[in-house]
Amino acid sequence: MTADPAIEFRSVSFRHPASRANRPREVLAGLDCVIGEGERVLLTGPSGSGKTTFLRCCNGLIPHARPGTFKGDVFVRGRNTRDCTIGDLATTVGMVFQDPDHQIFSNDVISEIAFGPEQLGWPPSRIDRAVNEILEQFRLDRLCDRQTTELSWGERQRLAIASVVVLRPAILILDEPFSGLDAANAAGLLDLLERLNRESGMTIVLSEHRTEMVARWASRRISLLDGRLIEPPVPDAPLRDRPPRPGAKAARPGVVTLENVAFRHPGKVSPAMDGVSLTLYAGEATVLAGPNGSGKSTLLRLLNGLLRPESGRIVVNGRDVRESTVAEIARTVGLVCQHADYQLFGETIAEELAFAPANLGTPRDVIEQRVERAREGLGIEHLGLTASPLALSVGEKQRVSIASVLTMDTQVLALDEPTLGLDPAAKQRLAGLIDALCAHGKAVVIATHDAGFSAAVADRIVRLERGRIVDDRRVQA
Amino acid sequence: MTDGEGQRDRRHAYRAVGYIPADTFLHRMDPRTKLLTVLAISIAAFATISPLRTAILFAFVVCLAVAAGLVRPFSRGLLLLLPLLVFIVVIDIFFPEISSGHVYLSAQVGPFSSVITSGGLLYAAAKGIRILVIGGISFLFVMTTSYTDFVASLRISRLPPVIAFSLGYALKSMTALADDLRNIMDAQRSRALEFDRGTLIKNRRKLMALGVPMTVSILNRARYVTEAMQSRGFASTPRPTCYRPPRPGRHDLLLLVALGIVCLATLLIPV
Repeated sequence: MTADPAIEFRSVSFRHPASRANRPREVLAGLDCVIGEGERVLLTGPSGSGKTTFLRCCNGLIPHARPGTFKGDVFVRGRNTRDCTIGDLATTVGMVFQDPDHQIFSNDVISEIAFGPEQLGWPPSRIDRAVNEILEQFRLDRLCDRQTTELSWGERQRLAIASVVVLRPAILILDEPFSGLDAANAAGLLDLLERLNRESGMTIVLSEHRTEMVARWASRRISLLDGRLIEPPVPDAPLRDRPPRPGAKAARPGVVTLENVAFRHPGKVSPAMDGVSLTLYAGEATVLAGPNGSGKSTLLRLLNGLLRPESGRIVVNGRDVRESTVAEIARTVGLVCQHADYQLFGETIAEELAFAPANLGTPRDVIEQRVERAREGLGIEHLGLTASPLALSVGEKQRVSIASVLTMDTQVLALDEPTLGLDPAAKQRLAGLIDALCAHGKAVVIATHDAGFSAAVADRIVRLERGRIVDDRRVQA
Repeated sequence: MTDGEGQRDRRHAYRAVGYIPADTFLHRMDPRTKLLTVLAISIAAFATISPLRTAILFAFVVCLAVAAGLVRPFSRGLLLLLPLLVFIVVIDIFFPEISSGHVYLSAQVGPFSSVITSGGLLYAAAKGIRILVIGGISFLFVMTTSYTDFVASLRISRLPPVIAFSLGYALKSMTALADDLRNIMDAQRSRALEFDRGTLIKNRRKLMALGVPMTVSILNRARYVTEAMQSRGFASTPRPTCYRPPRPGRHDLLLLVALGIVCLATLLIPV
């Protein structure tokens, strides 16, 4: 560790304010920590351990923008964050948030990058130079004419980082930057961070659950548990690869069949699905892999009728989906969408979990049994049944969201990026649950970029690129 | 119409109220010119009760949509106004504010008295067209004005940055909320909730299933964007730079001239 600390936490505690739906909780508890200049720090810990709060303390969002009780001091290059505004720290600490969509607010790439320099009152000629440099450095020049809404997830993530780095901060903070990125984009991002650190000596602190690729890059790991540092830091246990189920395909019938399916999103020129033929078998876990924008989510939405094919046929349990409503298909295909916040609305977890089976007219006693099974399977019993799902952490919301579809007890379970926000222990639990579902003859189809999770659950890996299946193979025994 | 087709149409409808990236003459205009047009047309529409005059205003709005090649999204936007339009017109036909001319029907139903007259019918027609005029010109503004251009135009008009960005964000939210609504409906439909059956008003659960995630989404989005802006120095200087200010051009002048002519025409044409 170098002599000059980039960031120093001195006895820092933070407690969220109490609310009707949220009990007061100490997120950071008397934390002492020093991060030296030029370090590459990987921040790890289970969901709810305080990682995001830690990062928000580094650029003054806590205590200045987030309500709660803040104690102790955070120094950034010798300046106490209590004595600076968030804007004062903008040229010292750059913050990249977890979801680029929550950070990008301009319509075009150049305006987004220019926002920070504009706010600092840089003259237009200086902004010109800075924008051009960053476009070249981040290889964003070819995206200049595109709308930010048209960019892929990986491109948006790069833009989000570029629009922060344009201010040339000495410290860069990133909150789970790899979640949602495919392997190629993740490798590109890692390379970019490596260059920023090497060429300009930038101190980089990032939190991440997908540690398998970042662990070697980091010069130091900091582990948090219940708002406290764990010394020495604990490396995450890798997910266990599941041994293949022999003869899964041979013994089971096909449940869903796609025959030469094509689909194009409204207003788009290129098709999202282009002649896809695929059969999903009972008792088999199929992983949909492929880069961002390859059509994985579209395929899942076609399976349960949210989208309808332009041509070709999708047959679910012997019936063409064109003849059925989404609610009818939902009896066979349960889909867990990507963002839990779009789904959760119940006053209690019990209400949320009972919602979907009640829509299907399932008897109350059966619902209660399924709710218990789902809670146990996903390890969310400790949350209770009366807590509000809206007050949970990201990882907990994700598990409640999955449980709320599990209670429909469908023959096919479709999961869209189910590991977003899940810590390794929760992922392992989900992998075990998928294994159990397959053992009971269910067909499970999962769209994911998480290679470790894929290895832990897949019987079969279907790779999509530009709406076409380019590889379809079973995991060998 | 199959369930799928219905779903596809609704998806189009949600997008109809948002910004449509394109390079039409309306897109290239200074947002202030467009804002002035919206205000002038709306005031003119409110200032008259003549169906002919409001029809002239509507024809002008339609001409703008046609000239910009936005007929399809514009029509979809107007379709969204249909329930409101029908409601207002029906109320005005049966319970008119103005009753004059030939009496077609006069009835007393309990405490309510209804009189349908020729003057009342014309007034109801004018009010219906007024909704199309104001809705139509507002849709054109939203469809052709990017958040970035709008904020830049407000900033060079010396509006305080907080107000400029708040107004801009409200404009941007129209597109973002339409996307959120679509995603939320998809998530709930995946859990076998049927929005097409029964009425929303009668079913509290359907309202909650849409309303709660929408509220959470709005609040979260506002909070995240605020934090992202603050983290990049928002309002850290009293005079932020406007890097690419919009500049009025030939099209702005032409539109203002056409607007003047139309407004004059609505004033001068006899009722």
